[in-house]
Amino acid sequence: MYYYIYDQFLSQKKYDKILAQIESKITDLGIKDKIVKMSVLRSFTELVSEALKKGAETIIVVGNDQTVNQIANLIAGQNTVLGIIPIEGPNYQHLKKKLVPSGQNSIANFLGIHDPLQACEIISARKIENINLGEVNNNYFIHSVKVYNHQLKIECDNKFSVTPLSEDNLVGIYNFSPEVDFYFKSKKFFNPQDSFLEVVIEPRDKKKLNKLLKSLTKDSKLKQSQRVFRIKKVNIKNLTTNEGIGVVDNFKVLKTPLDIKISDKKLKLIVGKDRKF
Amino acid sequence: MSKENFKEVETIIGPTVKVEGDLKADGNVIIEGQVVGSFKTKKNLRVGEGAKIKADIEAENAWVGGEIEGNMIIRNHLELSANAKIKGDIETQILTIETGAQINGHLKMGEMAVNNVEEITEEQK
Repeated sequence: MYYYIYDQFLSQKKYDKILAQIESKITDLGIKDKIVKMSVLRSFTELVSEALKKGAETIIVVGNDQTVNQIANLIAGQNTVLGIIPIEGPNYQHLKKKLVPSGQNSIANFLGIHDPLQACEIISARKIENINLGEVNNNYFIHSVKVYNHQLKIECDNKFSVTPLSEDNLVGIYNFSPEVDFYFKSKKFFNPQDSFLEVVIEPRDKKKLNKLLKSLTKDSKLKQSQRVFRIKKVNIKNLTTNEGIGVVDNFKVLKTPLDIKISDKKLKLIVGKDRKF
Repeated sequence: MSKENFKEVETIIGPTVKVEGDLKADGNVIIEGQVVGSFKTKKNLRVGEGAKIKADIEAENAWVGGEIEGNMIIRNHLELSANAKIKGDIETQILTIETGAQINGHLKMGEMAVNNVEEITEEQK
């Protein structure tokens, strides 16, 4: 049974056309079962628990990364399969320029799902992969937690600690990296099926950032600018009284200290042929 | 040690990072920053010129351009560049030293070092 959950922003009139196209496509493919819509009165928690009670084998999220994260938190470790039909939210252009360089559907893109109608075909083909989830302060995350603060102590696997010595850093804890194609990216790193998280520390000082940007276009210096550790568990604390800000999956904000680990629960996802893992 | 050996780097400790504790790696590692504690890798290690290490080190091959305070067990080939400063004992099979490199400690090489390294590895297992 396919259970389609629409995000609340899709109730805006401008999405009527694309939703009609999606519904027509899933009807043609014979995968149209139940459609429910999130609203002010019906939260994702209610919708998902109702779907699980009714024995939904597949929940299809119609929305963006934020929608996927929220639903994933509710079905983590369950036998239910998660599919994604990516649609960009209303403030996409604004977000695209300032905050999220890869757009609002970086998770879908990483899974090889690039537009809503192609997504319907991918769901119909039903190629399923299990991916790891991360846990941060008892919430699940799908791809990353980024911490913006200059005075942090990062304790890895209870064995060693890392202290950034430069003034301003971006500390990223990645299950996988949907946005930046890191130099280190190989099958071994940033792989959502390897049961490891990667810690990357990037300097954000202007001089060092310029150096990093230059090296992104050329070659060697990038290697020197990033520090990568593979870990299972990490604890991030402040060295000063100032609180650091952690951004989970590019939208949810948490304050330090952060307890982050690879979860023993997995997520079953429907993926496309050109997925990046 | 050729750059080819570092095609796949598992961990890089950059110049603005300090690592304290027991660090173990399976792959190639580059250290450009500070390390305090102990460090082991099954593969190759490259210690950059600005690096400062206060740790016992174990690796397959190593190229050292920085400062190390601690004992080193290099199972195969150790190369010390002109700026290398080692304060501690070294055990290795093959050693290459550039003019200007400093060693303050005991040195065991060849068969003697091999026997000793094997004993140590056995004990650790």
